[in-house]
Amino acid sequence: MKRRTFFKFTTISVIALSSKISIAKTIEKNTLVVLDEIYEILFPKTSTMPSAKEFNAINYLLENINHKSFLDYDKNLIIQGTKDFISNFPDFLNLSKKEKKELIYSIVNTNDYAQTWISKLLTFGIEALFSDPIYGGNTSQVGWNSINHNIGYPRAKKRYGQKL
Amino acid sequence: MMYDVCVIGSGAGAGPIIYELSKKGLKVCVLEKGDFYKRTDFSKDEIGAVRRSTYTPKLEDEYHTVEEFIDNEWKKFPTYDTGWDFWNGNLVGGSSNFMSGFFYRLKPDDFRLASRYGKIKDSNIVDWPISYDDMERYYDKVEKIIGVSGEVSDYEHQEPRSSQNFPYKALKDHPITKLIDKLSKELGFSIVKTPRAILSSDTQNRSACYYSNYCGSFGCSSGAKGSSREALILPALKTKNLTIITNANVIKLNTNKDKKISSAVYLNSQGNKKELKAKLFILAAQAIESSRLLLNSKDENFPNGVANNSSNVGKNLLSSSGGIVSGEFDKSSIPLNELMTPGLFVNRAIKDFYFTKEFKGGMAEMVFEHANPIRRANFFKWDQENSNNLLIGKELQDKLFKSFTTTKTLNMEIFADWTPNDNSFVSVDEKYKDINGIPVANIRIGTLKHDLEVSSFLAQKSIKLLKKMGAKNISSQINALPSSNLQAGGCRFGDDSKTSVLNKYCQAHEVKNLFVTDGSFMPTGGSVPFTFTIYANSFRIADYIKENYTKLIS
Repeated sequence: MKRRTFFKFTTISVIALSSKISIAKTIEKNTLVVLDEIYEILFPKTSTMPSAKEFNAINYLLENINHKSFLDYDKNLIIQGTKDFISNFPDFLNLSKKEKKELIYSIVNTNDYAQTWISKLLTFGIEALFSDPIYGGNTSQVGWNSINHNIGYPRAKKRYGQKL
Repeated sequence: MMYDVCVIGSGAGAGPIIYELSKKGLKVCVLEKGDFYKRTDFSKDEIGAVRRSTYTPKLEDEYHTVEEFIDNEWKKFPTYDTGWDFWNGNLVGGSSNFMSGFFYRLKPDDFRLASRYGKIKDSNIVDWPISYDDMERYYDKVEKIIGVSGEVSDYEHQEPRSSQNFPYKALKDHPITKLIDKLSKELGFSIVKTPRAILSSDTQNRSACYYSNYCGSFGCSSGAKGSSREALILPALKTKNLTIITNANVIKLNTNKDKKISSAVYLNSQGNKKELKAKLFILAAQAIESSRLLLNSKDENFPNGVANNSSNVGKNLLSSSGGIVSGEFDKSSIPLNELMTPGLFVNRAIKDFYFTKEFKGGMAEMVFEHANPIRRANFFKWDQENSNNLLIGKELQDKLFKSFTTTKTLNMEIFADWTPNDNSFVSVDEKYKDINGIPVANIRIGTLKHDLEVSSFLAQKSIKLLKKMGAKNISSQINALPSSNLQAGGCRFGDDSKTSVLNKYCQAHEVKNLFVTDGSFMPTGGSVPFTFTIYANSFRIADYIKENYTKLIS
């Protein structure tokens, strides 16, 4: 992929993500950009629900994927799956929005590996949508608010059930 | 230091012993595998409490193998591959911190199942060596000390009680109970209200339930839930006779020339081996891990594991057979604002079929799907029309919105007896070791066809009520798989040392100073969660030890 075209689609995302790059030691910048685009297809903005960007799906992944409680299997599936997707569809970022969506829809239920990988992305996308904002997703409780969720109290003061 | 009593574990089977013996003045030391969390450490954080291994080991480090009968042979599957987690809470108070707390007693005929119904083919059903009458006053004691809220229901199988009422009035009911009660009557079902080990009013040290909407699977932030930690261990600490060593992973029991336990060997948080000496040992690490520890404690006195010269340790493991029947409710059955009322309990069960003329039945407990949204949303990612297909994009987003804002799922949790049999047991295998090099527990989960038939029978009753209530998308997932949080058996008690591990006081037949007081002792488990009975039995054993301590250590 040419550097120019890479930037064409990703300038905004790269700036937004740059401060987190060092945290996600195992996720390359290119992988993140592709993941960001895919998450927008998996969780688009609707009249009732926020988009993946709004609930900060990528940030959630970045802030949590390297925690010791994150299973190695899940981490590998997300990263390797995305790399394999890029290998198979090297021009993905050059496609139009409509074409990107059609591509993801065409593979999600026709290929076992793609389905397993996307299922895992959905799992962590849902975590980002509905977990306590302390984990880096669900920005300003946008996920909880969208479904009129009754929040449980007390809310987390520390991540991962750490003792106070 | 030589302690009077060493207790391994601190959950429901350990708490009453710790409470009673420390109050008696004995120096008690608890070896707890996990950490000590205070009430204020708990929150309603779904990620921390439910979705990560916060209170349990990471399966990649410590796992079990589950042995299933596939293609005509038994095959072992490590749980780090399957994700089927049999850990339920490594922390002070154990899994009692996370229970939903519905507390049903066993009934008199649960103690004499073989006599009432005869022995089912291929089963190992036996009567208990004690009767309901022996246990009744301890059930009563649990209701008062642990704190049980409820209303005694009038139905055919209601067991005899020495106290007319529960010590705490019933918790508030969810509005859907009006619909349940009305239609249960029309179907001829009795209205059975669920007693819970959750306080409905304040006590001196614990606050009443505040209906947080996040109860089962979450630690309690008011102290209302009757965990072993809140109700027993915190009061026991005030005696100054109790020492708790946390992050102590017990890996072996040593015996001496008298074939008594001399010490417990444990790994501390740094992984260093330590040894603790005591005069009397209580094992209560939850059924599977208790059997594992005994089986791994091999020496010249006990080449097959401590208390296992009769080869009975690990045998006749029990869980609860059943599954779940679910139905979706929306405004067509009950006004939406009532349906969406958060926090309140359904507190109803179908118990008319607990015993039938021909066979032992069971019960169905009604509970709304837990409130935590991540777990629920993950079900919605699958297409209802074609469950092999994922939903993504607008279709997924619309389904999430519609499901969460207009529907609620009521589950009928089926509880049927798990019939003890030769293919339900715990063993250890040198081929499968945890991160510390200790053989893990292998859990063979064989069940009898009979159990599935009983569960299906109970499911039909549940479906009948759900249909009558106007539930939509009713689905039934009946299976004979164990519930990983419901564990009993493995060291059954009995009068015959050739066929049981423990005597009727849960003292090992082969080891005078060893008692096993978690659910391991149960020869049959009844059709209810085990926690209430484990608590009651542990109080019973505590009384026996208090009365006989000098003799027991001589």
